[in-house]
Amino acid sequence: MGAMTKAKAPATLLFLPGGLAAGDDAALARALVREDPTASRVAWSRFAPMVHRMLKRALGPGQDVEDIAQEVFMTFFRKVKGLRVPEALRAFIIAITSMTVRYELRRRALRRWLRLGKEPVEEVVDAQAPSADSEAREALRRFYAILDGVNARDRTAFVLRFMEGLELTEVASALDISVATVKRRLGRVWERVARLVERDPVLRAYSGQRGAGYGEDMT
Amino acid sequence: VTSNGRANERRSPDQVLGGLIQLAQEAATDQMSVREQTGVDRLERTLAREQILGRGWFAPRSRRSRATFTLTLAAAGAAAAVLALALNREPDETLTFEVLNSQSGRDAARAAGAAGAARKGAQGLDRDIDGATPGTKLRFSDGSEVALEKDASARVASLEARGGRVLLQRGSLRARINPVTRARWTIVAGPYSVHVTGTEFSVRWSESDQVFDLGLHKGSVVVEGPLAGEGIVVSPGRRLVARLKEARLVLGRVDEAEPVAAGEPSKPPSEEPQEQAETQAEAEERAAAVASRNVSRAEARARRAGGNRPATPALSDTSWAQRLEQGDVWGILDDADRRGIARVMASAPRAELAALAHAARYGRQNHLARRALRVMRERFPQSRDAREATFFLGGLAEAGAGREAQESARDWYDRYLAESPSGSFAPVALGRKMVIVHKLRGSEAAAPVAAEYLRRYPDGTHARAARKILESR
Repeated sequence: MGAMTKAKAPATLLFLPGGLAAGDDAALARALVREDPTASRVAWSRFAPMVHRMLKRALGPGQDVEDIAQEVFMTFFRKVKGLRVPEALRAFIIAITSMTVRYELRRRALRRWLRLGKEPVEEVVDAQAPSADSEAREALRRFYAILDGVNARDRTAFVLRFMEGLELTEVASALDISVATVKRRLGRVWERVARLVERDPVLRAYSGQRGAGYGEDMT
Repeated sequence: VTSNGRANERRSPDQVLGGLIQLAQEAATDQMSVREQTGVDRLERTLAREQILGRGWFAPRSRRSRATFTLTLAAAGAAAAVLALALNREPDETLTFEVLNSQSGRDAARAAGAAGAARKGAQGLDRDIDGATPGTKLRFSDGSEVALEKDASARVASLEARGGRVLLQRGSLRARINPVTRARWTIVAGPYSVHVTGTEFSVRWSESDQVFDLGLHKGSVVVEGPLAGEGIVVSPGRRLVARLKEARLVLGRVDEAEPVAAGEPSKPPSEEPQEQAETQAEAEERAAAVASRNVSRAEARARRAGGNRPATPALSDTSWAQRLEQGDVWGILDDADRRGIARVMASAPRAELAALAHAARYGRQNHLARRALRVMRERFPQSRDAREATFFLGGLAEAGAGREAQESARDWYDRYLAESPSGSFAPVALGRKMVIVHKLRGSEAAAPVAAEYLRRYPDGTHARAARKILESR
């Protein structure tokens, strides 16, 4: 990392209008490559909310994602010098986050396999749902239990496209596969998850309680 | 028609799935906890450490050493898999349960086609069971029991090999969970989750009053939910009552009619602690910290055992600051215990005190962290560590319960911003202050703070929230 981590610049330098913080992603990427001492904090400030959000959505709300977010940023700082297109900094960290999510999902699947059973109860998800509604929390828990049955790459694609709202080309880039493959995977995983959701009486009942317009326009 | 009286609408599978995705999106937004926001501090420590040591988890390796590393990892993985299969094998059978003495249980059993007065196993999952008949009880195959009071309605949402989830929809229940190895039970009461490994306790949830009431008789539990921050550890003999309408959560004794308020200071933090109150508070903190640490250590051990991170080597001869750099959080806390917390607080050098405070924060020992940070401010008032302690005290207060905790957090952030207007954490402190003011007093009151934030940090983490506050006026 060179000098990037050696000195911590005063916060005033980091956040002054017109400074690095006000620059675009390409400027930040170039600053990271030349080991600008202020760049790591600016990168954190810019991308940490997105990374944490993606991890929570991929792994399930209520999961402690802090350690995994640290891994994402460690990988990011280690590899950023190899970034060939500075404008693609955001896509770069999305790809790293996706890779880390896939690794984490596989690790969890392996643990389930080694246990020869299901994931321990609270590891599945104990969601902090937006409302003080135990039914919503139960619905989320069941939804993520269904997602646990989807393989890591398909689940990551599902999260990027339908929860994060990325374009197909962005999903393809993050997963390093073709757009056609992304389409095929998304179609398959949507169909499978929708079928399993439909079979779950609690999820069906919960959806019925939500108001009109709920869940419209997702597909 | 569902339990809360709303009629179900028939929706297509795509609509149902779309709705669940929307729910998942609402549950995980851009909002980061204070702990997550200050992760940059931890990250920079790690980056600096790797630079110093020249080796790290992701450090580039030569082709040959990478191959050796991969082979070693594969061999270690295979050995670990064999060991895990031998030692970590879960029982094959999912728990079952039966309902004793319940009319609704008998009705449900008949509906499910089960014979006799009791219903067992998966057939009874997700069916409402009421406690109208005296002595209604759920008995699980691991020996655990949940007794329902007359006013209670509950259901078993899921069962695993070593535990399950019981939803208390209303009323009171009393649980006696058999403390088998790695037992994992969760009792959900309204928005609260009680995580249990082996214990006896009673829970009451009132949907109409929005009151959660837990009394713990034996063992320890972790309660998560509104006002409970990152989770509250409840120890034996304690009672936790949360009144959501009043945004009030209090921890007292089981034998008290209504627990007295506890938690964060209600007034702006004072530099002159009151001698007598402090002594009692310290005793409370010690007891809570020990209970909390016992649970968290078990979790940490489990996480380490199953995780992908290397085990921490023995580091007892190195300084706490170095050990913190190397991630030996629990080693530091153990050392502090051995040396005596009171002695450490009174005589440890500044660097050690700072390391202890950070270790306690990373280990989620909030009581100990708060104490170390306060001592830092008292003993080394002119130091940078003392100024940063002010910020961290704000974060810890914010994780506490109720309006008073939020006001206390806002006061700490104010104080930090006054003491360190250009400090490393000034952007976060100002952003959090804005969020708290908005939460407590609405957009109008938060607007000046939002404008100040945007003026100073237009690209900061809270910039989007600040713009929303200004637009919503």
